[in-house]
Amino acid sequence: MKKYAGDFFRQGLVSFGFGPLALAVVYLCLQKSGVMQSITADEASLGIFSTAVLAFVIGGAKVIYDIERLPIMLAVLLHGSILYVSYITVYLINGWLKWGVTPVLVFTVVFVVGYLLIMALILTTIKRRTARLNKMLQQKHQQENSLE
Amino acid sequence: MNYKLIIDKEAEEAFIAIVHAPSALTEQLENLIRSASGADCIMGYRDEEMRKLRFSEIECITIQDRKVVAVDKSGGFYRVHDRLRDLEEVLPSYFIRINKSSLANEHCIARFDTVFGGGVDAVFQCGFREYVSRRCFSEIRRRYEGI
Repeated sequence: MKKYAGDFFRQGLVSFGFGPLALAVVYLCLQKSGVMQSITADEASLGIFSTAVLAFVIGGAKVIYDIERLPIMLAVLLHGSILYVSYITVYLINGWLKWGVTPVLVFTVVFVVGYLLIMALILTTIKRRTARLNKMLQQKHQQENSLE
Repeated sequence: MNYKLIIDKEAEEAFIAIVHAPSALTEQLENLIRSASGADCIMGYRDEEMRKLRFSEIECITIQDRKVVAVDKSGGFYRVHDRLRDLEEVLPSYFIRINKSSLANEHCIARFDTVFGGGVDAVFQCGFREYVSRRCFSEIRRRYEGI
């Protein structure tokens, strides 16, 4: 567990600089497209700090996939839950998502549906690969039997 | 395939086979040579019992409660005193790693099962099952794709 905590911290540190960088790109795009002309110092600092923390958590959370004993679906579910909580918190405190039942519900539905699709795809792939591996295993057993 | 026998009383005895890929024939040769040199078994311990476990009798070697155990064809568990890493070096090539703490006799794997959560288990002929890690699953697939 100590190893994973260390890896979480290390991977988080590698990623956290990308948060403010992505924020700067978004601000620049909004400014160029005329949606936003200026922001206050409070908004800018909150945006920078929160996206740095968001990137740290997202980067660090990749360590979940290194836990060998954790089945892939559980890893995806755990990773998705961490991402969901991180994103919604950062969006709400920055005012990028309006406080209220409807916006949060829409965000949640889109997020959950997206993740369900990913999980369905993964499960289908695993089942297909396992069936193929079983077929290859049978072939190998047949080859051995014929030689004996 | 050519067969060459070199008799040299001065040289160290060795069997060397040059093949394009491992096959059932190379496995049989390996078993025969190991058996002839007495390196085809390990000692297994259970309660007061001590048993010589031939490699071909072992279905899986895994770690349970921080102890190395061998599962034989009847599903019996035997404590093994060697470390898994050391065993990996002496076991024949038909023992494959299925996760970081288990080695499986591939002849004894009955099938692979998808389990809840998207994991994959190796089910052995004796009924014992052990999870297959994602990394090892890919390696096993690559190993079998050559057939």
